[in-house]
Amino acid sequence: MRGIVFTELMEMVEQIYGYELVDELLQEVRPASKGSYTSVGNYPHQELVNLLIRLSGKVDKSVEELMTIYGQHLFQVFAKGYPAFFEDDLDAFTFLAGIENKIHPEVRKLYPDAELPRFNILNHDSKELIMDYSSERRMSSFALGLINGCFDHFNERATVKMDKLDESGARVRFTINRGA
Amino acid sequence: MKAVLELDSLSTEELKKQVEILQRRVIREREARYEAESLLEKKSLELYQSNRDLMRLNETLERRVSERTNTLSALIQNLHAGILFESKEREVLLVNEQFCEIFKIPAAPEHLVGTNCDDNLSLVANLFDEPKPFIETVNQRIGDREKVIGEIIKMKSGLVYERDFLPIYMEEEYLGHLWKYRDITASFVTEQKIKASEEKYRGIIENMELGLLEVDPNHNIIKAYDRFCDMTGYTREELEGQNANDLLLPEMYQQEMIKQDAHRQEGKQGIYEVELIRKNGDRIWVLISGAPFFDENDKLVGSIGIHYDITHRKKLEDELRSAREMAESARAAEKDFLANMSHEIRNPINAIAGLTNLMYDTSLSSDQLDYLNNIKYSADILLGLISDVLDISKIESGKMELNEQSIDLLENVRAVVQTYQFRSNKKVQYKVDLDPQIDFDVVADPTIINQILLNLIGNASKFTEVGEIITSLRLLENSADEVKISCCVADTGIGLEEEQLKHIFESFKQADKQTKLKYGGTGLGLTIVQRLVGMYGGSVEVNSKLGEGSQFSFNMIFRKSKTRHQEEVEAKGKDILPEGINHVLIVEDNKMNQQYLIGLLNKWEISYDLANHGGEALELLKKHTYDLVLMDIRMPVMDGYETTIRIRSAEHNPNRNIPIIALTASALVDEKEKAISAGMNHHLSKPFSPEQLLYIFDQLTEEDLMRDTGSTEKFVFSDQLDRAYLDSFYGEDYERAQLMFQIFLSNIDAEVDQLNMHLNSEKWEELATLAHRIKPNFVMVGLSHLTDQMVEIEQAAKQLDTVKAQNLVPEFLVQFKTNRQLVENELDKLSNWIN
Ligand code: HEM
Repeated sequence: MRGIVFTELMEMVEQIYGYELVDELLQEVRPASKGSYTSVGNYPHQELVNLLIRLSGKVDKSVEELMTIYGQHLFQVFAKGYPAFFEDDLDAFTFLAGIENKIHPEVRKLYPDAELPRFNILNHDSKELIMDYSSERRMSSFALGLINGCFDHFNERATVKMDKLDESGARVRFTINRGA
Repeated sequence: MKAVLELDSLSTEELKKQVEILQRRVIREREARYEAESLLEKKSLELYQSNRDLMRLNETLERRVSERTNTLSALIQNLHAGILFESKEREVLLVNEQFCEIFKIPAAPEHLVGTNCDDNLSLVANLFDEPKPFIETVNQRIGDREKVIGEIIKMKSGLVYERDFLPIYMEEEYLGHLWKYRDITASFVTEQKIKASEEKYRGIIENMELGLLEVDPNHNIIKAYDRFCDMTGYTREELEGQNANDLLLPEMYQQEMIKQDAHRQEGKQGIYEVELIRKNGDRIWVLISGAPFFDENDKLVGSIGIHYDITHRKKLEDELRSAREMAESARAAEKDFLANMSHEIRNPINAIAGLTNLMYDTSLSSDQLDYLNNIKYSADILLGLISDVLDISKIESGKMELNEQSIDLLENVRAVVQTYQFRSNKKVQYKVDLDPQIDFDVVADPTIINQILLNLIGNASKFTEVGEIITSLRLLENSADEVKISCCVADTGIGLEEEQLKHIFESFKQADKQTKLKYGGTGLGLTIVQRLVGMYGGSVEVNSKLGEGSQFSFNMIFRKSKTRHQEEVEAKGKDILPEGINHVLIVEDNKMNQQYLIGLLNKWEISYDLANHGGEALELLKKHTYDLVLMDIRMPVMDGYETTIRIRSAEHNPNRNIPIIALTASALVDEKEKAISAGMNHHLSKPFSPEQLLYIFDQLTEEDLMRDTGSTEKFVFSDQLDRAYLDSFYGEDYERAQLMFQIFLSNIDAEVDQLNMHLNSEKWEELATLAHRIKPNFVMVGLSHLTDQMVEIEQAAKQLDTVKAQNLVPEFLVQFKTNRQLVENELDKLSNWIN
């Protein structure tokens, strides 16, 4: 996992709950990297999962809820950090539909070791966008947060329905409809 | 910030904890910064490295591209051809120096790039032999955009180019086209020269009265030359396109043509003679020399026939052949005539000589004895003379058989000279001058010696009217076994001119017509003498002076005889009569010869029966047993050969193995061999003396004795041969068997070859005759099955069952080959056994 995912998570926890909780988490989880995360580094995916599990116990929120909240937060960070991706005047549907073929390929160019999911667009019209998520890391809730963050960013409204396509959650369908 | 603001209200405990948290945070952030810095450091290094690699890659790529471009353009510049690469708009993309040279363009090739070719086309077109067509074809090629290779373009300068036009496409898109001009002047000129010289040679051939014809592999006429048209009477138009075989070749030569075709297919030449049918139906004979010709891919495209009219030559040949045939048949007739003469003349003389012999046994006065001696001697001389004149052909063909015995040379010379003394007219003295050192006998054929002397003395006497004729003998060398004796006959006659001396030994060359008329004779005399002397290692030399006389002299080499010759007349009374020969069958048609034989047998107290021919003989042989048969060869009803074969092959015949003595009229080796192969045991050529006959009787009784008391051991013939037949045919006379096997092996190959030749040339009658003739030969060496095959072949050929004959003969040939070896092996065994 890219370091930015960790640094932004720590930043978010500090903003909401204070550095004490960050310190508590790191003291308890004791990750191999000792928690000295930097956005240019690269850290094991399992460390992120361990941190989220421990956090979930402390803040009375499920890991999924935390992932969604974090995704929503991270999108804002991406929007600030990668303005190049937002140069074309786009709407949320077109932006989302371009993750697989435009955004993530650029990400992979920047970070050849990035671990990215795959999105398959099943339908994309003015009203509806259906995209299937698949990844061994089973981070569909994170994707949901990113999607929500995306609509916040474009100042649009949409309902997002999530359907598991298998037991493990490695494959999930997002059916997104415009409007509230 | 919040933590710091609230510091005051915190307990020490709390404070301590907050400090710890802060300390940890600081440590974490410092470490994160270090890590980030080192990561960035590494990253920038990586970036730098990859940037350098990229630059290097770029350089190499650039270098490679430029290299490739350089080689390509160098290649094009150096290509031994003019190259122009035009875009589709006809702008020069690439051009080389050669191209500029060909088109006389003064600019450097690189300066031409970008210029338009169309503008210059009409300018350069004038360099070509045909400017207008040049422009037209260029435009045509560019319009068509199709590859055209190997166009021949001629320049006014005399140079010749081969032009290739290659359109160039890159993934369906037309880029332009390439022109390539290659200088082929040299090869073009030589090709042209070759063509010209070919034409020239054809012209020469035509002038030499040789008709040329070119045909394709199916004989369709491609080209007919004038002389060939003259030969056949057709015009060129009438011939070309026609099938040569159908139009010109008579049916009987079609087969030959097929054979020749096969040769042509293999690329071989051939010379053969056929007839052709002219337009007017006449036939001409031509000698054809046919040779195949090929295209540039070595594919046979036809053949050229050179025809030479040999009609005239053929006519001459035919005439020659018939003349030769006539001459040959005349010669054969002559031979027959001589053989018959031999028979007709010898028989009466034989009788005279024989009866004279008997007369010696009657009581005679000394005068009578003297006359009798002379009668006998004259008869002998006459016989010798006839024999030798008749046998001249025999001498010439090397078939002369020597009848050698121990003789007293001096006595012989004296006797011959004496015969002349009787006839002498007293004006000529016949003298001898004999070397007394010659006190021994030599081994020689007395007939030959006598004939030499008779001829020379006779010759001398013809040309000598007064004076003397001296015959002299001198001993030259005397070793243990051999002697060299010189002989000379000198006369005092008319002598010879130098011109005559040169030709004196050539057959039929007598002095001249006058001489011939005056002196008579055959003209063979000296030729015979020369040959006969040659048989004793000598050569006759002549010395002569016209008007003074001639000397004929020669040397001869003889073996010395171990025994001393017996005086003939004395020996007469001392005949040792043969034992074991008591009853004899005489088979003879000639009355005088019968008398002679009867006289002898009576004298020797041997009983006999008489048969006038083979038929009577067979009848007598059925009823009586004899100890011996004396068999004449030429007889009416059944000849001696046939009679013998019947005696030998008849079953239940008590006389089947009886000794048979052939009495032949001629001394030809052929006849002796024939007699032996017919199954006769001995051979005596007429005339023979009582001694000669006695000698043979002796031999027979000796053989009998050997058979009776000698080795009882028997030779066992191979069981691969017809053992039963061989045993019954030869009894224990293995020497005869050996002789028969030898004769078989030395004659049979030629006969079998002949047989095969008759088959191949389909001469059925000859085939039948030959098969008939040689069929007994096989059974006599134990190959009865081959004799059976021969009978079948004979019958097939007689009935003209050609298919059968064509099967039988090859079958026979195969069998013969293996069986011949058997006979050879058997002969080896037989010879070893006898020794
Ligand atoms: C400007 C926009 C975006 C940027 C720059 C971005 C970049 C990234 C980066 C850097 C990661 C981490 C990869 C790693 O640590 O190995 C990531 C992962 C991820 N991204 Fe994005 N992303 C963007 C938009 C989105 C959006 C809109 C979605 C949702 C539809 C999305 C879905 C995900 C998910 C689900 C992962 C987690 C990895 C996984 O599930 O396998 N991203 N992205």
